[in-house]
Amino acid sequence: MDFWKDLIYFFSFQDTNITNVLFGTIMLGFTCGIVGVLVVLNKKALIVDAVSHSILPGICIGFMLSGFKSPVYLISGGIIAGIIAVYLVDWISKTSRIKKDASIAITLSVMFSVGVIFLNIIQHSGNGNQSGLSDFLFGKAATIVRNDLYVFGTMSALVLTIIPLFYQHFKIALFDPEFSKTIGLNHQFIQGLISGLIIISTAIGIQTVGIILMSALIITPASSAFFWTKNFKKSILISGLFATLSSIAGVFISYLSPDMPTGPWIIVSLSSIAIFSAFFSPKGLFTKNIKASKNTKKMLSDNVLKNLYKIGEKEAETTKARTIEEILNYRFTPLNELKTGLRLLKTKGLAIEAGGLWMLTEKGISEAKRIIRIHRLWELYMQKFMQIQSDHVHESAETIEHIMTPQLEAELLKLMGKPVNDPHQQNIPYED
Amino acid sequence: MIKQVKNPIVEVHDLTVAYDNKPVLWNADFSIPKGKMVGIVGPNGAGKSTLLKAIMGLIPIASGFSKILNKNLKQVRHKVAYVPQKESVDWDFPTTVLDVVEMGRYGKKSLFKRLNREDKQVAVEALKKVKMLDFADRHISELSGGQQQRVFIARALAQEAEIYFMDEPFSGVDMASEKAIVDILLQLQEDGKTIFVVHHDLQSAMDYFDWMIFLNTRIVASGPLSEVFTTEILQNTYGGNLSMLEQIGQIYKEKQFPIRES
Repeated sequence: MDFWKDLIYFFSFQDTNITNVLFGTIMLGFTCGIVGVLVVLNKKALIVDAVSHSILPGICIGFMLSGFKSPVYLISGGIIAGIIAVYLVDWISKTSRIKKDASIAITLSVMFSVGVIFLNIIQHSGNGNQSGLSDFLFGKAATIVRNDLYVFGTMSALVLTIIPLFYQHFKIALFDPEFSKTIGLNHQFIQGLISGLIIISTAIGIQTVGIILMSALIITPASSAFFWTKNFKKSILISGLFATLSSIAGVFISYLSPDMPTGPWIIVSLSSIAIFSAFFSPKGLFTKNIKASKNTKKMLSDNVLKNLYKIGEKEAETTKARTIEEILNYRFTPLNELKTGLRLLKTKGLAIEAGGLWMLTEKGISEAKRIIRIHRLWELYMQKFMQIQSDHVHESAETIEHIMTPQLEAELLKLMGKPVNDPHQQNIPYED
Repeated sequence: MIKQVKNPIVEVHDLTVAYDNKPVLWNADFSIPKGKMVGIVGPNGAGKSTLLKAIMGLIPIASGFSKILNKNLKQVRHKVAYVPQKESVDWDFPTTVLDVVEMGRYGKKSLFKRLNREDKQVAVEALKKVKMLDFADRHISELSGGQQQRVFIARALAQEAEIYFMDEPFSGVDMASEKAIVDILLQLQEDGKTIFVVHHDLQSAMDYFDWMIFLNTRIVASGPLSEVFTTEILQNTYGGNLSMLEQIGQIYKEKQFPIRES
């Protein structure tokens, strides 16, 4: 029961250290999550990596100037370095033949190596306050203190003001940049704004998740959110929610087991959400499989139903009970499939079983008639409207019979009246 | 043959556009009267889209200018609607059909304001006109090419402009969509609007347009259909590029030489 005790203690906010870390991480997670949607839709995912690596020298200079780990100095330094990085990426790709992705890689590595050199100089300077500065590389949420919260809060508030305020700008400019320009929207300003948001969220983020994992905190929640919604506003909210939940999970896991680092666990939680989304969202792989298996079942039960009806159709005895052998004799179906099909019909209330004999219920007869009717109507339709020979129409009708909707069926009937026979001179069954 | 008109609704003066310092459109100079359905035709790479983009201020121009209603574009933006090629956007963007059409309302409205009932009404009407109202809540990725194009045109209709510039609205479009689009264009013209359409099918161009601009890196002809649809002009437009222009353009590019002295 230790777990529950821990859980209650964790969320009771009695421990100010935990509370600081938790709130800091939540603010950060939510901010990065919503900014991520703009970044991904702007196809700027790589820039995040460039910015996060480039922030290191800025943080080092901030430390050198203040002499201790002042959040204001460090984050200001980080932001300035981030702005330089974004500008550098643009400048290199505009003034030389170097393409954008290459100029991102160049900026990233140059700025980062300068940062590592600064970090070494600081570490050998004998300044006792420097311990923990290297935590920026991999992040350490436990280092979040009250003072950091004020800076985080201000930055998050800024981001949370900008995004709703410029909501329409972002939506229009990101969807259709050319159109947005023709209605007078300043595209450069919007791009600058997005870069600014990236820089701010990265600058406050790297203390927790570190330089290396920073881009995952921005990119992953947005990428997962797109699995669940087709709406711009909702994708922003869902992305923020995913990042927030993962932040809480990360802090909680490292609270339960102090050896566990918070930042990487936030990212692992986020990645789990991403993997889950990829499989189980409405467009996910697993959902597709479920659909496929539903389709197979539908075809199977429809076919067995049809056969059960058709035996009787010949003898004009559709309600008569049949043995499994009789059904197999009418049309061979692998025995296990036939049994599955019959079981499905039973659960749907379309057939009943008594002493090894199977017969259709009234509902079953009506459903069987519907399927056969659609099959034969479609054959007729193909022959009449698509000029297809009557000996080529059966295959297509075999599948159409399972998916035809009542509306389309009504339309077919309207088109052709209420024909008596199909192209093979078989009777088309209607409800009496 | 370039027919200049008095009181043009669109005037293009000595417009030269270069990509990477290589001119792709040379000294375009023409004027168009109000209320025309203007077809812009020419072979691939003739600069048709470039011409529209230059007029819409989407690409820098090397020399010359264009005027709309005798004013600079910036002063009359709300009277102009532009329909880009549908391939220019990512149709996986998380947004619905109606959402896209509503974007058109922001041509006249501050982006900081919310759309009111009238705006929404206009957007719905526009969707109805392109026969896409049933798709209002669909995600845009679920549309066919023709339907995507109709959504773009609905967005332009929602702008309630005076002049429409459409880049290849008929490319990759099914018959039903093409017919729907033509009907809308005719209706617009009836309402006194002026429409520019980049088009690549000469056969149908004769049916759709009453003013033609023939283009092949330079304006070959601009005038009423009956006056410019001649064998000679067609030959000048489609009978191969002017190799002199191509060669001198290449030199401009290699030397990165200024297109104009000042």
